[in-house]
Amino acid sequence: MTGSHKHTIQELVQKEIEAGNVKMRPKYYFVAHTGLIFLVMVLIVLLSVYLASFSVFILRNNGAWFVPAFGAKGVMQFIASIPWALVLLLAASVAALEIIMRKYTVSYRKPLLISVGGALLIVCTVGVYVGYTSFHKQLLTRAEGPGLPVVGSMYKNLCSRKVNNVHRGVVVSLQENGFCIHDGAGKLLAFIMSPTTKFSETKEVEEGAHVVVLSRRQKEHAVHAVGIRKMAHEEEVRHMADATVKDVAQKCKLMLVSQAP
Amino acid sequence: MHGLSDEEITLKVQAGDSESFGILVTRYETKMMRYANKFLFGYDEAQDVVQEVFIKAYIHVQSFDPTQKFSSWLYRIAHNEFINAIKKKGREPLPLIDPDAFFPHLVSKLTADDDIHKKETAEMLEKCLNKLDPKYREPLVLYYIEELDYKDIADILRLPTSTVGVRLKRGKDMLKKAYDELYPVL
Repeated sequence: MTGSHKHTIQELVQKEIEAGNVKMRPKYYFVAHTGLIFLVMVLIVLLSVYLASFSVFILRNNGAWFVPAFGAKGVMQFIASIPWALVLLLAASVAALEIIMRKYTVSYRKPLLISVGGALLIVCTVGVYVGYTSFHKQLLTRAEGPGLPVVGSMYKNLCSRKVNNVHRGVVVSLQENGFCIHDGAGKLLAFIMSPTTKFSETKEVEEGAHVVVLSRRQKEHAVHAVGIRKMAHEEEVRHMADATVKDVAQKCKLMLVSQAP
Repeated sequence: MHGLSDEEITLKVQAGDSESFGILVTRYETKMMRYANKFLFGYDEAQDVVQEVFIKAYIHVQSFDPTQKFSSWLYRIAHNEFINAIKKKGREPLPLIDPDAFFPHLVSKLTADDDIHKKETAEMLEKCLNKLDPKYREPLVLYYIEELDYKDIADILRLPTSTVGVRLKRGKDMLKKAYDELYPVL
């Protein structure tokens, strides 16, 4: 049985080749194919890094990036502030990368978990690094200024979105029971401080300092500062205009009095 | 010419010597037919699929890297064609995502005892092919009948070597169970 197959298959294949029904694809076809796959892979890697770094930038911009330092509440707030749409896109692009990579020894020799986890780790590490550079800051400045094609509205929408209980701004008045900040949108916000208020980095928060505040609404109007983090100059994502609120100390005192228990 | 290695002959084919491809077909058609008959057990068109394997190999021969093993490359083409044949028929389930390939496993090589009883297991396999899922049938066929090693099987199935070990072990357990049901010890 094997013998009859032997001749039949060999003869049939040879006949097809000789008749010209089957043609060998040229080498350049495979070189071009490999090149195209490599290009797609590079584009997906760049897209993944872009998405990861943009997510980091958004979190830094709204201050949520810094709040896990304030404990469990900070971690919960951080998770709630993650731009999940971008993270889902990032997951999809890493999955696409993995599907393409699975054809190559470097990927399929490793269990999927390690291969995907490794790809995610690399993309996120590079993403954090890029998120700390001025890349997105410049794009945001262009989006808010002269205009940025294609992604301009995305920058404006996602970067202006307010996160609950997280505030960034400049300290404009320090009072006995709290302090006031002037946020990027020009609003004056008052926070009550207590012995439970946590400080990240330093306890010395002076007027003019740029801070991130994690807050908790206590009663109807009282806002308690759960944590305060003083920002270093290089951690500034966007320029905070120096406060020019008139009689700010008086206003702050009044706001804190009205919030007092 | 017949003293040349598969890879050396492939180089000749790549250089335009189409007739040399016939030598490769002659060398591998018995193996491919055996692989097809075992893996595509119960399917009628094994010979047509094997013919298609060689035709695909000829079409794509320029993509073969002669520093690699020709046999693994050809088995990989065969695996793809056989999986397509199974999908076309739609008779047997083929999982889209395999949890075995997802998590890391300790490399669970079969024991020396398993190797001693290789022939015995191969005979059991011949009798119980239709009782096994393609997912387990294929690595068993490649290991016990085609006598390929873990690394080659991993390259053909594009799986981590440890996953091949897991599939072989589970497949062997299933095979024993199926065999005992078919031939109960009285």
